[in-house]
Amino acid sequence: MRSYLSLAGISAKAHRKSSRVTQLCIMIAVVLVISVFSMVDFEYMHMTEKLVRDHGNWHIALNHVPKEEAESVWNEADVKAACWYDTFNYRLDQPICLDGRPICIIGTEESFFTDFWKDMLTEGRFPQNGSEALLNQNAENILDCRVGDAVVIQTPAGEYSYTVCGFVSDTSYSLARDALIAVLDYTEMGRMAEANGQAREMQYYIQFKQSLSIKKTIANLKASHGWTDENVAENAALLGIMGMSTDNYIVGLYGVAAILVVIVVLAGIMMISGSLNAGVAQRTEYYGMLRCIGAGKRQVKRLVRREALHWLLLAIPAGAVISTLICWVICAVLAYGIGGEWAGMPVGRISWIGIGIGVLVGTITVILAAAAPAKRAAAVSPIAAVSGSGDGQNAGMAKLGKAPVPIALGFHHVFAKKKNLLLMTASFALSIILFLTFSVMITWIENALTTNKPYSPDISLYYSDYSAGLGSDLADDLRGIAGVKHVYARMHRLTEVENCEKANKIDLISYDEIQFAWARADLLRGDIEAAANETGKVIIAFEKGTAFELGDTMDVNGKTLTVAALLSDSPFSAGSNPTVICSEETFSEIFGACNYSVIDLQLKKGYGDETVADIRSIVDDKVILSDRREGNTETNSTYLAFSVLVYGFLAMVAMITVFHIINSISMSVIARQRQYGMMRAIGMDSSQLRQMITAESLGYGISGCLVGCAAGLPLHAWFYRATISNYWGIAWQIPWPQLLIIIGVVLCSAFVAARGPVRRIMSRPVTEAVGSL
Amino acid sequence: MQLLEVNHLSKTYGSGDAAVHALKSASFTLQKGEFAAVVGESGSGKSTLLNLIGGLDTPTAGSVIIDGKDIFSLNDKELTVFRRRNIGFIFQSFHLIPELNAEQNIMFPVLLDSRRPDEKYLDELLHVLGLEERRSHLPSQLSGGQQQRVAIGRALFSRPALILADEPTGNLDSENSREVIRLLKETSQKYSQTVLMITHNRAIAQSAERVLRVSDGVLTDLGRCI
Repeated sequence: MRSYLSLAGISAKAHRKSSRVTQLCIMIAVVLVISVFSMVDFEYMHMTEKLVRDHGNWHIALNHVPKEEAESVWNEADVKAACWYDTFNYRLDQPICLDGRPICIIGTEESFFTDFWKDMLTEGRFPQNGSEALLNQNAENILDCRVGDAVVIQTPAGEYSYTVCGFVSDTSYSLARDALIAVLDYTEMGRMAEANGQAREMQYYIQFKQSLSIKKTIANLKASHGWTDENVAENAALLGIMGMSTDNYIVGLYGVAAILVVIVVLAGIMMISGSLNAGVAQRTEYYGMLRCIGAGKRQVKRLVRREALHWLLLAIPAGAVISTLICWVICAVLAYGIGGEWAGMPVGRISWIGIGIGVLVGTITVILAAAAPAKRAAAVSPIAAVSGSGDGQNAGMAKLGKAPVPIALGFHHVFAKKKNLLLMTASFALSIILFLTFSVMITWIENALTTNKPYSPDISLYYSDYSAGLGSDLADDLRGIAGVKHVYARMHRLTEVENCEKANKIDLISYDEIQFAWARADLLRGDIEAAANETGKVIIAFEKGTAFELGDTMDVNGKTLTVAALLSDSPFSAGSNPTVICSEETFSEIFGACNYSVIDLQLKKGYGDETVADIRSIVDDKVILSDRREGNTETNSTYLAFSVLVYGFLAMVAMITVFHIINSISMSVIARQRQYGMMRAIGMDSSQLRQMITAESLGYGISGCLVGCAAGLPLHAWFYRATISNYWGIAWQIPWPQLLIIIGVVLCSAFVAARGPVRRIMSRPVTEAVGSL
Repeated sequence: MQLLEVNHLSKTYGSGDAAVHALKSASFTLQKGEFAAVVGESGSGKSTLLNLIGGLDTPTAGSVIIDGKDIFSLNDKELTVFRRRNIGFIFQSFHLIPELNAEQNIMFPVLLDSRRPDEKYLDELLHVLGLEERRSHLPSQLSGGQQQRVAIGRALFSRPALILADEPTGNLDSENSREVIRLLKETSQKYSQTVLMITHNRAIAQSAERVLRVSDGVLTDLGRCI
């Protein structure tokens, strides 16, 4: 023993058993912080890989920059790779066709596939000369061609023949447009574009060597060449995730992690501080004695802090192991259970960043949490040791009234110390406020991630100009294909309205029976049946800024339409005009017999590409078959992952609440241990003791609930209005289910919390409880 | 040579009708190396007197001068340092640090003072107190008498000028009580320390060089007779 501080280590070891709760609190805090940051780290790895796959591994692209000037970048910066890239008929709106279908032409260099989009080339090799072309897999399927086949691209300037030298994979973007793509050598593509009078819009993709100064390099290049933002396009997603951009996803993610960590730290400080405080209260005489034999206030403070840090040393290894296991389970669930865009989540890796931050935040939390108890211990007067009464003085006189004495005493303990009541109430209320506020996220997810709705189609059929050319006989034929679950179609017309103050033009859309049925889930007010069954009755989807109400009328093509129902949402974002939904009968009555503009299909489970091929075989070649399955899976998995996150977080808040309440009550009992021992000595039995402690515990629970609801409900309403009502028009209501759940959790925990401490007190001899130091 | 000077020391708890005058204008002096006992009934004000002399409590009036220093002119920090260097406490219920062994308990106040413990003096003290065999034992492994001897060792180890003992034999049987008092007298003489001890035990009081009685807060110097 070299210094008085060695006492902290010896004391921590000696009290290892009795300080189990404190150690557990510290470990939970460490586990939560490491888990949060490890998950962010894993998501960072996963997102980086995904962004490189989806957006390409480039940092900047130069536009409208002369060739020599662009290539001079090699001399000015640490460039790892660069390549030229250009597109022709990207929007598929020019008469550039392959086999009668519009085709997008891409001109680039081999480096595009070796350095920027590594996994894109699925078969063959990059064109070695002007007579070779790569096609996308959609083209491979539609044209049924192979490597070595000859293809001819028709353009207004003439025909161009190429030999297929390989295939590239489709992206969800090309799938949704059902697009054919040909990749040519960039000089060959330039020849074709120029022959067709197309102005070149060459882009020069640049990938810098890994460096922390990409931001600075970009700024320097812009300054030295006088390039503007128009000349230099940044790969915002990739630079964002590298922390090199200001407008980015990962900064948001770190923001969320930071908020979570602040909450965890607050909860951790609350829990750890509570248990340390109780430890101090229990050892008042001990600290008094230390002061008697000459310990200064600062020395006592240091001892308390050092003791807490000793527990941290024990908690860190356990916390790191547990949180890493938790992260592995979450990653495995995301990667194998949810799949989709989460399929690439790394499983079985260790996040050193997460562990490092966990250790740092854990240490800070413990130091902060130990501050108040250390101050309290240092404030113990030395006379407490010699007089033997450190605590429980000036508690005020108990008003026993008519209630049974134990219950009256229990409630008296609640109100006896105002500061304690304030702290307990505030900490219980904080849990309720957190739970209520974050429960708004559940409603947000339900509304924001729309493709998870029952009406989300797997396949959409339409003409490129959205003309009404799809007949009801086609819809019937489609229903007959094996693997097709639902076929639902819509007529559409952008039309002018008269005698209506609220709009000049509307998007009028027809619904069939099944779509009306789905719409019921989004009904704000009114009667959907009226719109479905009566001609002249319509539904309007709520849009922020429009003020249609039930009963409003408008004239379309001489026919009066009455608003019969309002929806919170519809599958369409119809630009600036209100979306008005009517039955097919109403639509035909206004405009005469019409074909559909869009036919949507949902596939049965287990049916996939073969069904899509069957569908393609019966529709006209000119019809765009938009395959949304991949996009849907991605959004579905995002929905699932968000749900896991939000429900997981709410469960965490509930768990912390339970733990904190049990801990607080247990600590409060420990602090009064001697008093309870005395009561036992003068004849209080175990059931009376239980009544007294339960009354005290419920007292704190009830005051916490009252304050928590008083503060949490307005906050919930405000948060709800800001995030839900403003966008979907759903009015705020008291969230009874969430409220009942959290109040139930608080009161049940408060009730259960009394059991353990009572059992512990009863198991100790009275003399020990009275005379313990 | 005078070590302790108590001048008109008073302590009143509460005020108005509820005021309790625990100590009323007590004055006396003690010489260096003197061994004095304080006697009186329960609640007479003995412990209040001891707490005030030790600087654990603040007086309503009066002063305490130890080795020429008025302890109530010191601020809290200075008083703490003064206490750990100049005053040793011995309590009725020992108040040892339960996690530390006998030897560590004895040297702890010196460690608080950031000084290196004098190993030779520690061995000597353990020998004098008959604790050589028990130096590595925790308080829970020692008998009451042994625990009180450790407490005496702790009080002596920083070589304080004044030792304040509040019923050091209150929790001991008669044999252990005699032994503890013998040790206290022996060591205080050997190291020229002044001892002020509260006791209820008539025989122990009689063995003191000087006896002070406190009754209803009033201190009377009984000299050597009791």
